[in-house]
Amino acid sequence: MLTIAGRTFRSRLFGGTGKFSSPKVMKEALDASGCEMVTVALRRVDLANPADDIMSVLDRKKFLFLPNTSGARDAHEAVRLARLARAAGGGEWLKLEVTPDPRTLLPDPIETLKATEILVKEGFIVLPYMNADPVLALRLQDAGAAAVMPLGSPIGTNQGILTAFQIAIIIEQARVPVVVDAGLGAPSHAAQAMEMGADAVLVNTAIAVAGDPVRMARAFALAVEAGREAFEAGLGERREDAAASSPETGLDFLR
Amino acid sequence: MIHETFTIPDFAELQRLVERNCHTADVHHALQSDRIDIKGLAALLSPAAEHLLPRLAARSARITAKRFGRTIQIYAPLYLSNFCINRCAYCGFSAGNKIDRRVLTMEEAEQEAMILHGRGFKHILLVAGEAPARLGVDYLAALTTRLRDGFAAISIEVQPLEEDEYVRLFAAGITSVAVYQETYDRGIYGQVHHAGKKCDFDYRLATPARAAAAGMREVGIGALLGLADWRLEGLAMGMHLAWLRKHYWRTALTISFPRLRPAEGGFQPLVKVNERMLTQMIFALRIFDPDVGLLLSTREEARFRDGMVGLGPTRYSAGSCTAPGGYAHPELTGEQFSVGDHRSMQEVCADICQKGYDPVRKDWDATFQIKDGGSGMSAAF
Amino acid sequence: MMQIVCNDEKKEIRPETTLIAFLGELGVKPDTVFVECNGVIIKRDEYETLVLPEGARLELIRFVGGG
Repeated sequence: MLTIAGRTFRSRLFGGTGKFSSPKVMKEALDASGCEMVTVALRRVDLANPADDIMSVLDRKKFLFLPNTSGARDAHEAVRLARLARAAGGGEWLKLEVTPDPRTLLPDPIETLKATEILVKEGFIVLPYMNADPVLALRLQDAGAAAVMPLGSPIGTNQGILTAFQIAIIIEQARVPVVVDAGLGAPSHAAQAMEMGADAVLVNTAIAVAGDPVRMARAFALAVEAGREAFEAGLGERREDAAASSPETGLDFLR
Repeated sequence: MIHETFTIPDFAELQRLVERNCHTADVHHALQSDRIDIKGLAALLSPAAEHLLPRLAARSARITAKRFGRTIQIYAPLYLSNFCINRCAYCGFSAGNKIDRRVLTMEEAEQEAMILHGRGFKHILLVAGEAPARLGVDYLAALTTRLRDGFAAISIEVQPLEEDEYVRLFAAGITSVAVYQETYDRGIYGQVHHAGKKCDFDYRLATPARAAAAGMREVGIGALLGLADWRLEGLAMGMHLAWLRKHYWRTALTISFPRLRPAEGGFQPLVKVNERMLTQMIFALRIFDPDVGLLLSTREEARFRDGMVGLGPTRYSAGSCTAPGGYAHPELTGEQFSVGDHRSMQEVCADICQKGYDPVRKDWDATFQIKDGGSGMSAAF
Repeated sequence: MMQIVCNDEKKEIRPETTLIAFLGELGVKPDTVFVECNGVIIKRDEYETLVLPEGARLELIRFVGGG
């Protein structure tokens, strides 16, 4: 079972709550996904629609809320959002996002590391969203991150895992769980991440904008399970040179 | 930095791990996987892998070539002292042995280093028995300061030290630390270490982590083969290695495979480790960890070392003398063990070249890490 | 009447208005939001007692959908 910061999760699929057509669809999709942790964002109340509280449909006993700091452009803003989230009853869990470039929403590694250092000291359980940079993953881990969340491809692009080579290194090296986040556009992408040995994946857009989000949530749940099963079963080598190599490597010098 | 402690399962548990993964199918699976875990390592160390040794060799050779190219790093040990407070059954320096004891003066040590420098060595390993009152951190720091301009890398294999002492030695110019556990079998460890600080199994086991935490560029671990079941020593080293990788990612790691050699005291190996067993262990650990440096010292014979070029090991010692002062005075006795490869460094390098490999004498310049402002060029070089 | 600023909008309130009363006037359920007043996060049990000072800058924030 997956354990992050001492808490265990049966499902290795984490859900997002953005971009759904309605709170009702969101609730049904998240129920179908089997996920136990969902990301939520923090925003100012829209004074024109003050009663619009979509989160109340979700059972907080069933889903652990993972507030994110989306919108933050530097460490300072992210820390402020994190403190607000905790004050709001979001608990200590935090998905740290620092995305200064509004076009790509790619995370800023330097500000993310700075914010991680501050927030860990303040007792937060920090899961930083990061580019798939193996050394950054280790630096974030050393700074006390409870998990690392490398991106498969830029957020919302549905491009799948364009960073497979780096993610493989991160998975091999990290002491903390690795959650592949962003860009997973199809269940096969999620399965690929799990086959590579990722501890979990986070999926939002691909489920929220699917033709039938409830069925797509179920599809992702199955894909995550299949990928994990394959990883644990042990995949064979993909390279061909193993079989082609000579079994005759000379050992006749041995006595 | 998080300071956790590495613990090793007892050998009965490791034995079960090997037994659970000892089918030919397990070996084939490990040979066909991109990366193997500890179960895969157990399979490659198991009896089932013995008849597949050429397959292991081929895979180990391919991984080694990919990661290290066609190179072998060359170094020489410099024995500083054969005084030792420990009584270890297998070691020529053991406190009870009647041998000529000496600790080199700074000048004598520098003279030895100059001889190695003159022979073309750029990487030396300072070695000493454990006698901190005669040879401690002050001595090592002072000697390093005198030698560092002449060498690209200076490693130590001396008594286990504290983290702050390693920090000091790193700042003085020491690049790497080797501390071998001798055996990961706690029971056997107790049997062969009769007296001295070395009796503390756990303190020794935690030493590589202290050296890495202190910022050393490289840390070496190893087991003395001939004390306990070699398959389980291999498995234990794999676990230690993997743990160090996870916890000290900035530090490069090496493994050494010293087989017991004839030494003063006449200790007979408790278990037999022949060349086929040694190679299986080397291949298994290479396949388990493509990045680890693998050392093969002059304990092994020239025929074996030449045969192993390209198959897994990445670093050879050469022209070694294991008695303090022995480079300047070859007639001196008081050696730690008798070497198995008596060729000079030039001969070793020539034979490596003959096999199509490049003998590399340096791959780092310690001068970049020195924190005391540097001493300028030492007069000696 | 006096002025405060809520989520960057100017609002007119009567003196001695408590936070909970103000939220009621906006039509916001108090347990769905949290409030920062002049940069300080207000604890939930203070909503009924906090009297909004002249010129107060309020931030009303809640969880919304996000990935």
